[in-house]
Amino acid sequence: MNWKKIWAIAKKDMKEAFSSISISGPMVGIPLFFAILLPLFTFYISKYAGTTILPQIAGISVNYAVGSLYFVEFFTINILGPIFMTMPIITASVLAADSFAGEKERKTAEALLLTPTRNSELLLGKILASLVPAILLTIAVFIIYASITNYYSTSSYGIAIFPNMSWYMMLLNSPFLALTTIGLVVLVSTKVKGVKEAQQISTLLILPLLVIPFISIFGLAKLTFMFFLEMLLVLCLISAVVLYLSVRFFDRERFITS
Amino acid sequence: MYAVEAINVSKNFSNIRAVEGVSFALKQGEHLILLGPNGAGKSTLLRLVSGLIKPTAGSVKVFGNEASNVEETSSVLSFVSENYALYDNLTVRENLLFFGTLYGLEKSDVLEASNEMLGRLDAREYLDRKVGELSRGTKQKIAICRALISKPRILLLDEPTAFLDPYAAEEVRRLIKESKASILYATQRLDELNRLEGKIMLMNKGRSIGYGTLEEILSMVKDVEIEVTLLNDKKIRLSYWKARQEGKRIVATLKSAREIPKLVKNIVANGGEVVSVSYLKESLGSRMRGT
Repeated sequence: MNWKKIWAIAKKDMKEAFSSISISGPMVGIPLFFAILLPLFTFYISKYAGTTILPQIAGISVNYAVGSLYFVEFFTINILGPIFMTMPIITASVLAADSFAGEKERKTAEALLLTPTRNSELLLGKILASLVPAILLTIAVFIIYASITNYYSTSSYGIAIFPNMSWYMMLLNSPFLALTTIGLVVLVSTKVKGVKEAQQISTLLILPLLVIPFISIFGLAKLTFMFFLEMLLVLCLISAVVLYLSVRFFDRERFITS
Repeated sequence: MYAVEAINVSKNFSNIRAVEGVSFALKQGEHLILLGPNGAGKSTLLRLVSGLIKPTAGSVKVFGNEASNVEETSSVLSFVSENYALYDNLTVRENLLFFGTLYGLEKSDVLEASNEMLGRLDAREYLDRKVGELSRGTKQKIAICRALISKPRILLLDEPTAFLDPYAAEEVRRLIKESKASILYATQRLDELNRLEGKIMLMNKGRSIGYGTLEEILSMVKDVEIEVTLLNDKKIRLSYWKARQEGKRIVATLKSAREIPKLVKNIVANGGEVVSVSYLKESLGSRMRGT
């Protein structure tokens, strides 16, 4: 493994991605939008809409629900948590699709594949180029989200909601969600023709996450520390398998000719 | 050991046969010009030698190794494809440094070699410009510079002077000759043949339809349209030839490229003062058209 080459590939990809407003714009803009909008939304519901919604979904009394800290905690973990966890998928899918399918679309792949670089170095460089910004953006969005939420919760209830264990676990899950997404993009990159196709396929991974709030609402599972720990273990396994398969079956010829 | 050896190599894409039963061998430092129209299989043959694609049948070897073993062969080989393969969002300097790093070169060596080559190609001023802002000709110069900085032993060039002005094209030919690499040079322009050295392989519909020296290949060339420029617009008698004169220009269609010296002699004998002769259009007659 030549780490100089790996970092050169990663740096090049990141530079390319962030110099294009069509990539960096939505990638940074959408998570930031959610980071600011979601906590405001939470407090709006807590103060004004909780009387009708929460008694139904959490089975607690209206008096307890309205304006309660319990509601804010429930909403930030069970409803917004899984939505928040789509951030590393969205970011990683945009970056990885540009990194892999983008090279193909812009016809730069041939020159890159002809450099004396091993498949492992090439793929690791590209995976890092998607993974590192995805994790950093997730952490940044989390900090903004937590800060706004804490500001409202301390001013309303005199107590800070974050950090808590469930949120730590969600953060811990993020790199594996990003890795699974990137692995999937690598796998499909030999089949797709361009960036859009690769993104569409990889963002399908968001769907299972969007099911989680409903699992919670319908009482099928509680999004506790243990739930996220089990999820982490499953994601570790899935991302390892997807990444192994993507590296194992990466074929230079199929990548440029498909 | 040959630098490049293709043995009865074929390549199919789905139902399309892009290359069929082509063989050749190239020693270190030798040049082979692949001449043929669009769709002749020249680019596919270059990609087969590069190892980017694997042959459906036959084999291609680079210094004795299978070309498809890119991880082994890529350090000795550089490819300038028809689409330049440069990163539009990066500057020229960033592009060259990136590829230099992947070839294991030091930053100072990359910059020194780039400065020298781009200076000769009159493109040094673009070092800090984004590639996406440059013209096709300048991109082609940068792509050639990128291919040469690693000092490859084999150079694969696909129409490397297609968008260059005559001065830059000549400088590129000088640069690649100085590299002392074995060269596979794909072109569809007959007028390039006079300016390049080496054997020529005539290709059409994926097959090699002729192989030989410039003279041998030119004897196969049919229906050449040339332009003869004269010093003045004195009317020249051209009754024997299929030609027309427009002032100082004579445009003639010849049955063979071998007739060019005869035509020039005829013009001179009739009092014409020839300044230059250039190809306007050429075909390789029935051979090239495959009829």
